[in-house]
Parts: sequence; structure tokens; C-alpha cells
Amino acid sequence: MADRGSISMTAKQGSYLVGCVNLLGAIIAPIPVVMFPRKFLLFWGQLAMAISLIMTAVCYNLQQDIAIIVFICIFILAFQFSQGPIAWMYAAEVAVDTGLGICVLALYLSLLEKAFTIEFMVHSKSLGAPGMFYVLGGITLLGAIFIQVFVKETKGLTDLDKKQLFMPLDLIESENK
Amino acid sequence: MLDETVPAYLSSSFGTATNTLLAGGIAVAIILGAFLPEADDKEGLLADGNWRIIYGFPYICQALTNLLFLTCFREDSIVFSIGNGDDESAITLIKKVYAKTEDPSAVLATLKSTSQKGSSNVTIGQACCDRKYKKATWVAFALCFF
Repeated sequence: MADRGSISMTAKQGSYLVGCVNLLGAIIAPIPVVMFPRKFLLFWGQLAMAISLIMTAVCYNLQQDIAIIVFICIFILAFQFSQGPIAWMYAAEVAVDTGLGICVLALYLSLLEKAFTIEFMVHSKSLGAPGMFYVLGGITLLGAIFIQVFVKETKGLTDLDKKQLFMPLDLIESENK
Repeated sequence: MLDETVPAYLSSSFGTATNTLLAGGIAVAIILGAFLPEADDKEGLLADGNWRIIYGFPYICQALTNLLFLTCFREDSIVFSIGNGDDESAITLIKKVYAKTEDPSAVLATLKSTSQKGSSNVTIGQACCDRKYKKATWVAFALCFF
């Protein structure tokens, strides 16, 4: 991050900070995952991620560097308490093995999409870095709406119940006979 | 694999293990990167040999992982073994994973009654398009994408 306003940080120092917050979040993550239902954590975590991304963009426009770092750290923590561990757990719980393989494809498609678009967005005159954070915040917000509408709770269910969560009723009845 | 092996009452605690260890791996990479010269120090970068450690470290980790798979963790997951009718392997792993006080046969019977049968051989086409599996697959796909 550039020396701007009241803070100065090299790329290496930024990596240390992000790495420490990431590790801290990952170490604490089992506590909320045990305490709260999956959907609750997914929805509120995704919402916190979206808000922190949008706030990062706002702070970028206002040239508030400390606030940018704070919101990026909040984003990382929110990710570690929600999407980071739970998306994979959830996919393994509800989908069959082959479906889980397709979910891994989703991760790499998402990374590929970011690799193509982030460079373009950062260097675009119309978007720039704040525009990129607004776009990513908007996509993350769509994810929160998706979770609220489509995702069903799996905590406390048996393996069979989880696998039947998205099955049509007639198929569940025939399978349980 | 973890989800199919650990006892159900511990699945939430162990579900985060992959992600925690992933973050631990990133932290190790950052620590190893700290020994490299700064990006704009071209002479330092040319003279420094620490990159060899960073390059070789993942090979050592992978070799250790393969060694563990060949020695300590030879069985398939419990749910996979049950799904494929291999009760003997399932019992062997149940004895390793569950508390000594629990009866392996009773655990096997419970897992059999709560596991979905015949889902190990589902094709990609069935997972994406069959009425039975498609909604779960696409919801999980979208969740992982977001």
C-alpha cells in the first residue's frame, strides 16, 4: 500500500498483516461453527464480507488508509467465519461425491474469473481500485441473497437427511421405503 | 473425506480443519518469504539462495503426505466403505476413529441406517441433470462460486 495520509506499509508488511489476520480467523473459526447454524453463519458472514468490500471502496475514495486496512481485515475474518470453512462443509454434506468434484470446478472458475477481471478493473479509468471493490462487493451481496433464498440448514441432520435436503418429495419417499 | 470419517458429533469441529490448515500453510509461505530480499533489490535477489528452500518445501510436505497415506491412513473413508459394501474396512477404521467404549458393530449399524446408499457411482451427468441430485449439486456449485 502506498504511503498516503497517516500510514505507510510495504507490500511485504501488508502480506504479514493479511497472513496473521487470516491465520487468527482460521484458528478461531471452529468456535462459531460449533455454536451457530450453518445458514446463519453463511448469510451474516457473506453480508459482512459484502459490506466490508463496499466500505473499503468508500474509504479508498475518501483516502482513509487505516480504515481500508481495517475493512480488509474485517473481510478476511468474515470469510474465515463463513464461506472459508462452511461452503466446503456444506457442499460435502448435501452433494454426492461427483457433485463435490463439480464444486471444486466452481472454485477454480471463480479464481479464473477474478484473474481475468481484477487486473482489467484496477487499470480501468472508469472503475479503478474503488470500482473493483464496489463490483466485488455487489457480487458478494448477490451471494448473500442467494444463501438466504436457496440454502437450507444442515446442522444436526443425519448424512441421509442432508443428502435428501434438495431432493423432490416423491423421490425421498421412494428412497426411504 | 473428513466429513465421511469423523464421528457425527465432531463434524462441525473437524469441518473447519481443512481451512485452518490451509491458512497455516499460507502463514508458512509468508514466513519463508520473509527470508527473501525485497522485490526491488535486484542484486540481493540474484545472490540469494533461499528461494531453493521455498521451492523444495512443498515437495517435502507432499512426500510426507504420500508416506502417511501408504502407512497410517490406508483405508477409504467409513461412509465410502459402507456405500461399497466393504464392512470390514469400515469396521477397521471405526475402531481407529471412535472411542474405545463404543461398539464398532453398533456404530456401523447406525451409520448404515443414516447414510445414503449407492451414491458413490453417480456420473457427472447424473449429478448435474438427474432430478435426485441436480438441485443439491447446483446449490453447492453456486455457493462455492460466490
